[in-house]
Amino acid sequence: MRSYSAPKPPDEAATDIHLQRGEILSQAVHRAQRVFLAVNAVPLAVGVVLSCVAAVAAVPVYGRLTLGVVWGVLQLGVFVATAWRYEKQATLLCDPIEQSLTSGMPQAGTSGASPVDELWR
Amino acid sequence: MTLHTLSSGVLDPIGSDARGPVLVAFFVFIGTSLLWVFTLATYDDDRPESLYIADGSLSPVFNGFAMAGEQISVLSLFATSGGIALFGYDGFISAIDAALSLGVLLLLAQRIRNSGRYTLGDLYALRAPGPQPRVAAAVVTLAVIMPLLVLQLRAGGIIAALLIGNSTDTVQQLCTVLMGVLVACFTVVADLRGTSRMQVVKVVITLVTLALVTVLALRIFSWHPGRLISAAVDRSVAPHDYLAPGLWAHIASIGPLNMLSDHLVMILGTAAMPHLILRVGASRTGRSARRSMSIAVALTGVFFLLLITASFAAAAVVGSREISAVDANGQSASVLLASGVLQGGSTARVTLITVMAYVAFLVVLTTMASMTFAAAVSLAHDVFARAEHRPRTAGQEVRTLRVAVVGLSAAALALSATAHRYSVEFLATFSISVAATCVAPVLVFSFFWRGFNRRGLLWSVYGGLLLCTVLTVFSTTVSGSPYALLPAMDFVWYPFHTPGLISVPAAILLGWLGSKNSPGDSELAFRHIEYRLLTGKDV
Repeated sequence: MRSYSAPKPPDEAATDIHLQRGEILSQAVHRAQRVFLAVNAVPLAVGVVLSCVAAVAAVPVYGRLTLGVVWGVLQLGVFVATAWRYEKQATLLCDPIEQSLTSGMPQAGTSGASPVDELWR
Repeated sequence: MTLHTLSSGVLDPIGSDARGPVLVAFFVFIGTSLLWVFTLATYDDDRPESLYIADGSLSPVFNGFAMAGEQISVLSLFATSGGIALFGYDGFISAIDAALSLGVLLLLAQRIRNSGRYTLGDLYALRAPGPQPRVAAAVVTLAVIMPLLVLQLRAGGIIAALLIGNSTDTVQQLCTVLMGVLVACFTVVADLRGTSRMQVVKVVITLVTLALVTVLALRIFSWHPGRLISAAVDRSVAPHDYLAPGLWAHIASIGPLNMLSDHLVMILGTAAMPHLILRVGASRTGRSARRSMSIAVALTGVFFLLLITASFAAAAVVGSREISAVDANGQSASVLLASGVLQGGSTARVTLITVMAYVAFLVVLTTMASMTFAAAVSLAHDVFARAEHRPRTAGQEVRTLRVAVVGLSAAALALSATAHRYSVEFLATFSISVAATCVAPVLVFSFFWRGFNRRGLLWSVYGGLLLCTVLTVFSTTVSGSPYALLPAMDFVWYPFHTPGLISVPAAILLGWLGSKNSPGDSELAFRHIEYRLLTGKDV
């Protein structure tokens, strides 16, 4: 016996489709954020451990520079690089999905907003 | 009550040659700022959203520069640089944590902007509508911002007095009052667009100035960074421990858990400040907010790299002992470096000191204005405009904002002048801890957990706030140590420097427990909220 469900009204069906595509966007965003977090979590964890274990952090690695200082600078470099990569990934993978979902709808909280500072676009 | 001896000396490291130009710069700065104030005052726009968030119209680059400007605060430029110059690694690691904190905001910015909300009260009301969460948000906003206003106003007065060549207590208090009045005048007529422009100017001038003093310092050491670091180590108070953890005794002496607490509070708290959330709301779209954060991360990375180098250069050129002789916390390190990289009374030296003085005044003005403005917006938007049984017009809300600015400025000024001679470091740890405890977990729950609800929010916020207050009062920042508010008394039972190690997990637990005791949003309702947070639009 074939199960039967009443067809959904057009509005409800469209909402379902939007929510499903929103789910795809959510997964894409979470993937990009997970990479950013994972890549930064490791240096951060090592940095925290180093700051807690003075004997290791004080080991000289280049002239008078210690492992703790060199690691901190590398941490900062990794952070800036991964932020740039995160932005690139989000622009390439997430923004097109978002734009396809929202084309034609007004943006939250910007009704009547006039673009200013065009020089900075 | 023992009086704190911070900066009570009468040293004049700037020298008589530069005093005249610096004084001129000081008065020109005040003059131009007031002129700007009068220009802003003629701009008559009574729409709250236009004043609060520039109608959500700031471009990614512009807002990214302004967001980077928010990171260049009195605390980062003066206190952090002093920490690095005097305590080496311990100050350095706090600068790294401050830079990394932007990562938290980078991940949350798009959702914050897409929610269409720009105050803490708005964001709390996302999952918990009603007046109680908004009142809780206003309380948290004041608990975060007021201590920082007091602290930064005081630091601004000390730096201004140093620059004009008279660091006596009376002059420092006079400078504090003068800067406070200037900030109040500026903020009372400013809007977010005006303060953003000043932030952008500040970023450019600060980065150029720091780069210049760093290059000049490297020139002294024959362009060899290794020699500069060696000199910094040799001229520090403890050459063997300078580039290792533990020199900043009150931070490191209690062990690894204390360091862990400091890292946690610094990274979560610095990101969750109400004035940063307000600025995220000024972006055009969620995507624009994310891009502005990426730009801010790059600029802030450059700023902290320059600040770290310049601070080590200050230790190398001036010497840690000489820096701490002028100011026990080393807050004058940047100014002393500008004074020390060029010798004699040359025009170049005088110009460099004058530019550094201008940077200092600009940093004090913009940081204070930004924070005061955010707190006033919270009061006007979350408390006054939402008061039950009394509908408010837009004009009334804006007038409330102006009154709130005056009230907050007056309170901060009075507290700052009163606390002038006391060690008020606990204010910074309290403020950042409250942000880490009462803002960051709630935002994460609100955006990512379907089960979060009003009871969970209120338990998390008030429980976290209570814990922060109690743990701070009974910590070593208030009593039982030479750097405490009350060094002659000892009622310490919480051994750590910041309450974050207990308060942050407790706030998360309370949020979870409270939410478990009452129903949250349905699956479908949360999917609608998530859709809005991802796209900025309703389904």
